Amino acid sequence: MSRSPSPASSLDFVDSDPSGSEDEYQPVARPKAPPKPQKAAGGGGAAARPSSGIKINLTALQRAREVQAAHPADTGEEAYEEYQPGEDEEGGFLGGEVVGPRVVDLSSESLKADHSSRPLWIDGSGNIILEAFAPLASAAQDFLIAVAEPVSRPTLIHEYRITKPSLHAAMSVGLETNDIIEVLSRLSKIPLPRKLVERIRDWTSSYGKIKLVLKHNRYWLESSVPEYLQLLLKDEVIKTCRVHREEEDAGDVTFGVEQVSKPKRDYLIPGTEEARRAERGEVAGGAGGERERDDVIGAVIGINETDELDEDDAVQSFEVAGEKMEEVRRRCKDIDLPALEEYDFRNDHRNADLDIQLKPMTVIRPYQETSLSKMFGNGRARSGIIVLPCGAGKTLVGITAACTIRKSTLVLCTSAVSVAQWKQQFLLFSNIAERNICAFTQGEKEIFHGPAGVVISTYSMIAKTGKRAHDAEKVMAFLRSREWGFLLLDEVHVVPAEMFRKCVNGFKVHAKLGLTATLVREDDKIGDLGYLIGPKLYEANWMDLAKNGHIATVQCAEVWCPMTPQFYREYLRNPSRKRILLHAMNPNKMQAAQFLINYHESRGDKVIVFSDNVFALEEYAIKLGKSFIHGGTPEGERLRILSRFQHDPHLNTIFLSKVGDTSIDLPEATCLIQISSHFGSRRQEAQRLGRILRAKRRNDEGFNAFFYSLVSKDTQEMFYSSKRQGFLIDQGYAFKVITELHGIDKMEGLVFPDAASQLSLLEKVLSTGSESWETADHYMRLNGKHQKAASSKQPRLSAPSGGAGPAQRFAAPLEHLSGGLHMSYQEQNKSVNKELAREERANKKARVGQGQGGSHAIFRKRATELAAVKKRMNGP
Amino acid sequence: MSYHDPYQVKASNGTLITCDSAAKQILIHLDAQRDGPQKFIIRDVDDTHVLIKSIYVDMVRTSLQEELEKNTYDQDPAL
Amino acid sequence: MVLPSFSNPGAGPADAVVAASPTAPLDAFLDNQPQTFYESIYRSEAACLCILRLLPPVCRQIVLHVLWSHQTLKSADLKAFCGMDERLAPDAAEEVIRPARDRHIFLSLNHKGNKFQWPLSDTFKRGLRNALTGLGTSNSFGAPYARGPRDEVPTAEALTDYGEDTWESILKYMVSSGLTNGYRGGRPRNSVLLLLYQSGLMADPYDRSGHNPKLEALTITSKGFQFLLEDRQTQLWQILMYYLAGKQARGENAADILSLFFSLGCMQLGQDYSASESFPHMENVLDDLEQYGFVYRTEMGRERGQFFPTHLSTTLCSGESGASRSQSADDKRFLILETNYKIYAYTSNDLEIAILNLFVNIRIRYPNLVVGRLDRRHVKAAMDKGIAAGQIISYLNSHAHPQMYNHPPPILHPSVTDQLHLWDKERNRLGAQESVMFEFFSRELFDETRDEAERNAGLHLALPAKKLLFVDPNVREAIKDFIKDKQVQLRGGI
Repeated sequence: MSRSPSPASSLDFVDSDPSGSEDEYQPVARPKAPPKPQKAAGGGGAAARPSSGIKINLTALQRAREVQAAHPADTGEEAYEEYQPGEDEEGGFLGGEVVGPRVVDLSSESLKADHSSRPLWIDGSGNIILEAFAPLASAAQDFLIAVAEPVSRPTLIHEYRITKPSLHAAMSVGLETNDIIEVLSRLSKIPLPRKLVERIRDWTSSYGKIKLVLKHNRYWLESSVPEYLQLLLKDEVIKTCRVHREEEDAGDVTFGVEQVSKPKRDYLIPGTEEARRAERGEVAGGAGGERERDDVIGAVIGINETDELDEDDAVQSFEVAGEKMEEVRRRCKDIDLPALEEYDFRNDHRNADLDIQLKPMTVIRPYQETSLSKMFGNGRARSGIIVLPCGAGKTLVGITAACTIRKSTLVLCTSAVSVAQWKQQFLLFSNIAERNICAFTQGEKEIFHGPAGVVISTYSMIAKTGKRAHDAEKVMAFLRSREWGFLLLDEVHVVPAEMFRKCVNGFKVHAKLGLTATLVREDDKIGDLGYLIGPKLYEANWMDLAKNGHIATVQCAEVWCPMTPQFYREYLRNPSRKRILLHAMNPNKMQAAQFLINYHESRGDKVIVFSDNVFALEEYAIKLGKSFIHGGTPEGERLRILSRFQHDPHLNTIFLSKVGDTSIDLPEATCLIQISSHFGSRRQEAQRLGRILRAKRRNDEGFNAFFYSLVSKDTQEMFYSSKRQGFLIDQGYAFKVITELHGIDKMEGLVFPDAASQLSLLEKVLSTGSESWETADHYMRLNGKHQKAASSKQPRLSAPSGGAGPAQRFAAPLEHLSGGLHMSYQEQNKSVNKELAREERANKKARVGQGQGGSHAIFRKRATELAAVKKRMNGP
Repeated sequence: MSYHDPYQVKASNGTLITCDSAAKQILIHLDAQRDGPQKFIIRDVDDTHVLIKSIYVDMVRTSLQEELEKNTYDQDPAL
Repeated sequence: MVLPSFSNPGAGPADAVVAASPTAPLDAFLDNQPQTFYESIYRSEAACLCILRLLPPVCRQIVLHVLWSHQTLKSADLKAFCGMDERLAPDAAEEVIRPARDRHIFLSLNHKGNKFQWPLSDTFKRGLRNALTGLGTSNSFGAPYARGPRDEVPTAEALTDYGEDTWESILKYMVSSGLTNGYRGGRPRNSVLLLLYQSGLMADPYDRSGHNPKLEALTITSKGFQFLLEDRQTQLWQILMYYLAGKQARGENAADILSLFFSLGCMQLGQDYSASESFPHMENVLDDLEQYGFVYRTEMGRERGQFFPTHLSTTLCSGESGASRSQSADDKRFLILETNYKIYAYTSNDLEIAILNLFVNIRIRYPNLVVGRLDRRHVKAAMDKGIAAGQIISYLNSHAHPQMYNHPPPILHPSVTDQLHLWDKERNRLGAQESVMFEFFSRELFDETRDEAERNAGLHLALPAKKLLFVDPNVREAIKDFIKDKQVQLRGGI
C-alpha cells in the first residue's frame, strides 16, 4: 500500500517468484528426526472402507481442519510452481511430441478401480485437483484446507497445492505425517506418487514440533519430541537464551525439561450454538455442532473418535528468556525448527481478566466459528492470520476472539474511521463497559482506568517515531508499560513489515490475531507477516460464502473505453509515468463512468467510484458533481460525507481514493466503479470488491452487486486490469468484457461531448505538475514515516513528491475542499469548479502564450480561438 | 509547373491502411521514431486511414502487433 | 446476467457454426444437383430411405402420408394437415415441404382447375415403397456374402475399433503434420493423402508451383485445422464429398457413387456383404473407402469380394452424430471449462488431446484427465493457424461435460466466450489495400473523378473535405486518362 511500484517493477512480478526457493524441493540436510511412535494411523490399504478399522487421530484431524493451510511466512504472494517432470516420465505420443515437453505426463499411472468415487488427482509436486461434484468432495475439501494451500476454487474443479508451509500448519495442530498420507491416498484416484510421499515425510519430519508458550508470564519452548528439545538445547544460540531457575528441580527428567500434559480443548467459543446450549445447561453441550461435523468426515475417511485418549502425549519444555524472544524465534526458524506461539490464557492469573462477553443476541456464523476453532484449537490461543473476504464479518471474529481470551486487548487498524467503527462494533456485539474501551488516535487520547480494558488505535499512531504530543506520549507510555493478553491486527496485508515489527515488538503481547481479506500481495512482505504474527489459520471460500448468502453475489465487468485520438497520441508520446493520468482522464472513460453512475443511480443503487489517482478523482467528482474523499479530506468531512452517503437518498455516489480500499464500512453500497487503480495489485482488486460484498440488500431475491473496472483500451491499463483480476478469477469470479455501453450515445448531458471540450481537458492534463501523475495519496503523506519507507524503495516513481510533505497540487485545493464541508455541498462544488476552471484557463493562456512545453498545433490554434472569443465577449 | 494550377492533380502509389483510431495513432507514433527513407507513412489521411509505402505493410503489421502485445497479460503463465 | 442493455462483444455470425447439421456437406452437394441426378439416385431404394431420413420430421411425415395414397398432395390438404390458415397462398404453404421439394421428392406445384398440388416423384415413390416393403431388386441394401463355414467373422467391436483406428490415424497424421518434429507414425496411403491435398486440408508448403506436391511432406492447412474441430459425422460426410467431387472431376457418375454411400449407410454392422453383387463394377470405390475405415476386408475377403461395413458406414444416415467408438453421447462430453480459463478434459484419447493441444496450454496429463488452460498465447496461436473463435467455442460446446449443464445456460460462461471473440478480433486491426492516392485542388475535378472511379468500380475511399481520392491500382491508368481529358476541358474553359 505504501509502495507505488513503477510499471516496470510491477511487471517484474509477473515473472518473479517470491517464494520460488520454497517451492524448489530441497532435501533438508539436517539430521533426520527420530521416528515418532505411531499410535494413530493403522495399516490399511488404499481402498475406501468407511467402516474399516483404520483409525485416524480424530483430534489431529479436527485440528487439521482447524488450522488453515499455510504458514504465510513462507508462501509469498503466489507460489508459481513449475511442474517438474519426473525422471520416470515417459515420452509417449503426447508426453514428448504432440503436446510438448513441458507437460507432466502421468497417464501411465494406473487408475484405481473405484476411481470415480474418489475426488482427487495428485501429482508428485503436490498439486491436487479436486472434483467438486464428486461424492466425497466436501469431506475432501475440509481435509485439504487443513493440509494444502487453495489455488483456485471456481465451480466444478478446484485446485490445491501441498507446500512445505501448508504441511507445517497441518503438523502444528498435531496432524501426523501418516494421517496425511493415508487420507490423501484414500481420496486419490491414482496411487499417491512416491515422490510426494517422500516429500511429505521429509517436510513434516521437523515442522510443528516446537512450540513457544507464554505461561505464567514466562516463555517456554515446548515439544512432545524430546529429541528436538535436545537439539535446541545444544544449539549455540538457543543455549544462551535459556533460563535456569533455582526453584526448579535441577535433576529434572531429561535436560531439565518440564513435563506437563498436553492441554485439550475443553472450553467453548462464545456465540456458537454449542456455547449457548451449555449456557442453557443442556447436556449435549460438549458434543455440539462441531462433533457432528466430525462424524461426517470421520465416517467418510474412516476415523473413529477413540483416539482422543491417545492425546495424552507427554509434553516437555524448557524456559527461555523473555527479552530474547526475537532471537529465539529467528534461530528456531533458521535451523528449520520454527516455534509456534501459543497463549495459555486460562492459566494466566497474573493478568487481570477483562469483563467482556458477547451479547446474547450476537450469533456467529458457521465459518466464523470454524476460523475461531482453528485459533483456539487446543485450549490455548494460537497466533496467526484469519483470511475472510471483506464483508464476511472479520470484525466479529476479532471481537469473539477477544471475548474468548478475556484479557486486555489492543486493536490496531488502518485509519481513524475504522477505529471508530471497531469501537462501535465492540459496543454493539459485546457487553464491554464503555469506560473500559478507548480509542487512541490523533483526535482521541483516552486511557482506561480499570485493571483491564480494550484500546483501539491505528498502526501509524503506534509506529510513529519522532516527537509526539505530550498526551500522546503519555498514552504510549501507558500502552508500553502493560502486558496485553491479545493483540488484534486488522487488515494486516496493508501494513509494511517495519511498521509491523514496531507494533508487534513494542508491546508485551501474548496472542496475536491478524485479519485480512486476502494475503495476496505484489511484494514479498507476506513472509514477514507470517513471521511476525503466525501462520494462516483459515481461508474462506468466497463462492461458498456467496452461495450461502453471507456475502453478496457480484457481477463483475471490465468496460473497455477507447482512447480518444488526441489522448492516445499524447499517451504514446509521453513517458510512462505521465501515461497514468492520460488513461485515467480519457474522456470516453469519464463518459462511461457518468453513464454507469446514472444507470445505477436510477436503479436505486448506491455507487462508490474508486480512483487511486487523486487528480483524476477530483476532476471526475467535480465534473460529475459528486462528493469525494481522499487522504487530504479532513476527518470530520469524511465522516459527514460517509454518513450522508448512508442516509441521504439524494447522495447516491461517492468517489473514494485508496483510503477507501479498506476498513470503510458502507453496507449501503451496491455498485462499484473503478476508474484508476494501483497497477496490477490483485490484493487491491479483491479488497475493493469487498466494499460491496457486505451489501445490506444481499439477501434480497435475485440481488446482484456490480463491480466495474473502466479500462482505457490499448493502454497499460489493459495489462494491469487482467493481472489484477487473477485472484478473483481463481476465487470463481468471472469478468465480463463490455466493449460498448448501449444507450450512451443517447444520454443527455454527457460530459466532454465534443472535440473542443476534450481538447481543453487534455490541455489541462498535460499542464498539471508531475505530482498528479502518481497514484499515491495524501494518506501516505500524512503518515510521514510510512511514505518515506516506501519511496526509498521506489525512488523512480515516488521521488518527485515522496518527501515533499502535503504539497498543494494545484491552484486552490483548500477552497474547494472546504466547499465540501457544507450542506449545500454539490452546489458549492460546482461553483468552485467554475472558479477553478477560470483560474486554470488564465494560467494556461499565460503558458500557451509563452509557447511552453512543445504544445501541439491544435492547442495553439485553440488558444487563439479562445482568445478571440474572450475578446468578443469583453467587447462592447 | 511552378505557377499555381487549380486543376493540378498529384498521384501517389501506396497501400491504404484502414484501422481504428488507436491503431492509427500507434502507426503515426512508430513512423515518428523513424528517419528519412525508413519512414513509411506517405500521407496521414484521417483518424482511421493512412497511406503507407507498400513495402512496409508487413513490417507495420508486425510492429503494431508487438506494440499491442505490450498491453496484454496472460494470466498466471505457470498454470 | 442483469445487464440488459449492455452489449456482448462476441456473438458474431461465426457462432452459427454451432447449429450446423452433421450432414451439411452432403446437403450442400445435393442442393446443387439437377432433377436428372435425383431421378438417377432414386433408383436406389437405400438412397430413397436415407434421403427420407435426412428430412425434417414434419416433412418426413407428409411424404409418408402421401406415399401410399393415390391422391397427389393438394395444397388444401397440406394446409389442413399442418393447421395453417386455409387462405394462405400455395407458395407460402410450400415452405413446409421445401426440403422435400429441394430433393425433388415432390415435383413443382401445378394446378388442376383451381386445385393446387405437388406430385410425388414416381421414381422416389417406387424406390421408397420398395425400400419399405422389401420388394426391390436392385440390391441397394447390399447382398449378403455367402459365407463358407470356416470363414472368420470379426465382431462388431472389432469392426468399430478398426474403423475408429483407421480414421483417427488419418486425423492424427494431419494434426501432427503441423508440428516441427511431430509424430509421423502411420502415414496414410497416397490415395488418402492425395485427397487431403486436393481438398485443401493439407498442402505442401515447399511446392511453389502448387501442382507438384510431395505427398510425404504435406502439412495441415487452416482449412484442415477447421476440419479437425468438426463433429465426427460432419468430417465423414465432408471427406466423402471431397472424394465424390474428385471422382466427378474424372468423369465418373456421381449418382452411382452417392448411391453406394447411401447403401453403406443402410447396412448392418457385423454383417458381411458381397462386393460384386452389392456394387457391381464399383469395387474400386470400396478399395478407396477401405483406406478411411468405412469398410473392412480380410485378405481372403478381398479376393473373394467379401466386405464388412464398419460403424463409420452404418451410422452415416442415422441422423445422429454418434459415430465415435462408443455411441454414447456422454463419452463425447468430456470437457469442463471453468471461469478461470482452466480446462479439465476427461479423456485419454490421443486424438482428442492433440486437438485440444491446438488451443489449450496443456500442463498435466493423468490417466483419465488432461488439465490445461485456455490461455491467450495458445488461443492466438490456434487463430494464426486459421481456427476461428467460433470454431473453438463450438468444439467446447459440443464436448461440454454433463456437469456443465447443471447451471443455467449458456453452457460456456459468456465471459470466456466473449474473451475468445475478443482475441479473434484483436488479431487483425489493420485493413490494407494497394491504392493510388489522387490529390486535387479543384473540387469540380475531384467530384467528377470520384464519380468516374465509382463507375469503374475502383473507388476505395473519397474524402471530399480534403479532396483526396483513393482508387484501385487496376483503374489507375483509366482514371489518369480521364483526369487528363478533364483537365484539358476545364483549363480550356477558363
